[in-house]
Amino acid sequence: MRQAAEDFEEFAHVRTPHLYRTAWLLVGDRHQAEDLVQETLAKMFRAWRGISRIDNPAAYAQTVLARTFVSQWRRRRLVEQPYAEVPEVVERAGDAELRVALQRALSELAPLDRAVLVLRFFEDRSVEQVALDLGKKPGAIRTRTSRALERLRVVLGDDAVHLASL
Amino acid sequence: MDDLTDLMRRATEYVEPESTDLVDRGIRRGVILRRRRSALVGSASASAVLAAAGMIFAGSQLIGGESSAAPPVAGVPIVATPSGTPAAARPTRQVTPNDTLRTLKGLVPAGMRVSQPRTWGDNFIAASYVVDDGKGGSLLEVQVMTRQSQISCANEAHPENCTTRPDGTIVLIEQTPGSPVPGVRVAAVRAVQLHYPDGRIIVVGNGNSTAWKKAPITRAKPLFTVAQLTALADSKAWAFPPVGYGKDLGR
Repeated sequence: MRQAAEDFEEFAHVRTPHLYRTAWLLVGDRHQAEDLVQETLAKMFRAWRGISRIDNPAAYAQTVLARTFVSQWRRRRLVEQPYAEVPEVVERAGDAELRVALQRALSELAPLDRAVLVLRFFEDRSVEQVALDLGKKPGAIRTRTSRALERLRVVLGDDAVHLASL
Repeated sequence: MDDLTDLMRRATEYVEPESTDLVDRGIRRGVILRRRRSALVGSASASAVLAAAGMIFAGSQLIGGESSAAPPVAGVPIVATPSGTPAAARPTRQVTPNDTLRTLKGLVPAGMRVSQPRTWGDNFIAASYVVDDGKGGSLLEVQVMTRQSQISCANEAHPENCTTRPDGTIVLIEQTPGSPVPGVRVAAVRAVQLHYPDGRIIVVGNGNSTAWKKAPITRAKPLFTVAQLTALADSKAWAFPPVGYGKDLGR
């Protein structure tokens, strides 16, 4: 049992940075992102004894995070900030501009659409996998993807080309 | 859209959590979730609240007791006796489920009818009665346990419902209105959890039905207020099982 706890702690330390980045894309706020990661780690810990049945615990953790985000939004109606906070540490001027613009654009999307885009493009998952992750039909995921991308294009406009060149 | 992938990855390249104890917080919360899962078997909407209170639905054990026609039982009035000084670590005698049931019955205010006694629990002790003040039966349930780890309001999913007393006791309040959907019988619930610094935990829950779900709603609101449930939980009459009590010692 101690070995299982140590294994989980090691897993959690390794995966937390990436979980946090995903959470940040989903919620657009540092504190909410930490809360989301904390809840995800808690659920993974709870399920850890059965984790040997899962082929890819890291990918499963990302799925748990996305599902937790969607369910929390449904329960709490999280108040989204229209603009992301300016990062405290800016390695390059372009990074802050990119983060703010992307967060602003993502905040225009419905939470489920945001989750679809993050899983499809940040996590690089297929339509079918995202459908399984979120409990939707593949056709619905394709529709949401198209609609969300179109919305991003409208919001980002010419900035999309500019940001891509930073 | 490769550009979006690239945008997302570059935007998050230097994004890191500010907290250095995020993993520890996740594990502590996971311990709580694991213990709640061990007590929960239902999945209806009110169960989320009852899971927060550590309530369960099944595994009940009738030990005999009064019929529903029993006369009202005169019991000790519910009196609040919160401690303003740090809670001393009281020795925990080996309490039994029957002890807990008797204590619960003794704390029901005079003039109320009690029926349907039940006890259950594996690494905790739970007991319940249906209490009736003449206006409809109301399920009153208590669970007691002792564990080594401690919670904090900061780590709770709903910290706005959590307070910490001067002696370090943590008080968690949960209230749900029940299902508004006609024909879906889910009780409105009021629940109070006390987490003492020495590891003792008591959960007291009350509903507006004789069961948490699939039973007729008998009254508009649960019989007891949050203040009364808190006073009941605060009673010095409760005895707690020791750490490691019960058959599920591996959790």
